[in-house]
Amino acid sequence: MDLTAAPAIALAKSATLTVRCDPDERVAAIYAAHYQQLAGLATMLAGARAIGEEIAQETFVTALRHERREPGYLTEPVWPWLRITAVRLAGRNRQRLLREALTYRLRGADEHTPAAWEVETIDLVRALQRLPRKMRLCVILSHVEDQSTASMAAMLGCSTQNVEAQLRKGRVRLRALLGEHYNRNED
Amino acid sequence: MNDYVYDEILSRRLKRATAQVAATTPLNTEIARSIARRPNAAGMRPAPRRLGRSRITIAVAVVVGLVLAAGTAYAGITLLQSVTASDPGAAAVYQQNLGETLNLSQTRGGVTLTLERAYADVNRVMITYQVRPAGTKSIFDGFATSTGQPAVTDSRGQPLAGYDAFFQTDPQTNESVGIVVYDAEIAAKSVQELWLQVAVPGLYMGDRSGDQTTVGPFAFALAVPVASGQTITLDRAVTVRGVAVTLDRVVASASETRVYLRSSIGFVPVEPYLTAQITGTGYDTRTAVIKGAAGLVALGSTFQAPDGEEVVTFNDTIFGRHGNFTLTIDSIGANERIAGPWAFRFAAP
Repeated sequence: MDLTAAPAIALAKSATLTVRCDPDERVAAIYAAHYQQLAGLATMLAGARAIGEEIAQETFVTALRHERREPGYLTEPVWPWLRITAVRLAGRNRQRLLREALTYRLRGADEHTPAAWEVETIDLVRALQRLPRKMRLCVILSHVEDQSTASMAAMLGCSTQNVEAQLRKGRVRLRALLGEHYNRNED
Repeated sequence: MNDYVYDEILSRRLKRATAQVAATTPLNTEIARSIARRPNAAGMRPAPRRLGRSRITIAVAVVVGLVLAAGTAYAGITLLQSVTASDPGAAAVYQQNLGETLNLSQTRGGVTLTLERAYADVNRVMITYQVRPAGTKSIFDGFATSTGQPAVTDSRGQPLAGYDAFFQTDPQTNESVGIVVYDAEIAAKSVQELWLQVAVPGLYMGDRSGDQTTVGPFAFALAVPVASGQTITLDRAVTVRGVAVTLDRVVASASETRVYLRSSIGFVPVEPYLTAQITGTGYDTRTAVIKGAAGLVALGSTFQAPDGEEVVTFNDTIFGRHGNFTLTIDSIGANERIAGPWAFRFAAP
């Protein structure tokens, strides 16, 4: 698969979901359509693959809980709801998520071993890992999800000035962490 | 280049990386079914997943039990575990309680910096610290240095090169726990104990409005014993497509494993990137996934030693693990990439 020109959003499969009566079936369909995209976003938000996958799964558990309690709770488009839930989970203390992710890994991930990442992806994830949590969330929401400052402030429960400050610092730190050759235009 | 152009490049790179992470995430429909079958999805908080009865289960249970038994130390330990989660070598060192307890504290402007523990071996020096802010309104935002790490010098006044730093903040208390990692290759050579000076010109403290202040300076002196490592000397060359790569030696210590390489084309400092992994029974660094009870040997950093050798670090380690391993160099270079693979088999006695 050529990923060089594929923006994250392009990986979202068609989310045209027929409204089903069975909440479990509906969430399973949303899972099939969005799980990989959400795991990708959550990995960047968390700065680690195992935690990202755990966040994505936890998001779908939450989705199912809501859908079972109130069928039709998830309205189209579902991506904004999935995104904000993943952001909130990524913003929490990572301890429990880490433990669950470790348990999940130990339980036997051999059947579904993820493919290798390119060097640039490894570099970016490792650099993101070194940013403070809120800074990382701001950078990813702005640069990957193209969210406005106001929208990010609402999601993260802070002021727009705070978001702007975090973004400004985050960009500078990423620039330093990645090195100058990453800041050159590769086209 | 102006900031707008830089931001555009960053966006494009991050989107591409996110797309690759998404594309390489396995879509396991079994998980979808198991999520749908979860009874706790109806309203309760999800219960911890259950492991099968195995030695892993017992080992995890014992570790968790010990952590819980630690009582008041629990919060600190969990934050430290969180900090070291991406660095299995550091996690192993602190889980085994290796190194020295320091508990050296200084307070400036109401902010207390405590150096909690230090560990040194032939590859790394690691120092864990805690930052306790003056009140609930400020939060630690990093070290006010060009490298983002405190300056550490040995007894001869030689600075140690820093190459990794992580910290996490407890959202309840605003206390931060972090770890700073330094290269020990030169400083720890032929000494049994390292005497170190740690200088922190300032700590950045941020508040909710995004404003930042600097408090400091802080200065500490400490001594830490140097744990020995295992050196496997090979001096073995493999040539692929006319490019010879020599594996000079493998140095394994409790905190990480390093491989020292030379190449017929030379490694230049501006583009030293290698993609490499060590595989062996139970290990595969390529996927960064734990393959079994033994864990993984994760890719750490690459850097150039003073003599020009390229050093690749693996931050989980083969130290103490006996058997046959293969080091595979997939490619050399970041922009001008030369594809391999160069494969070296070696035994850890």
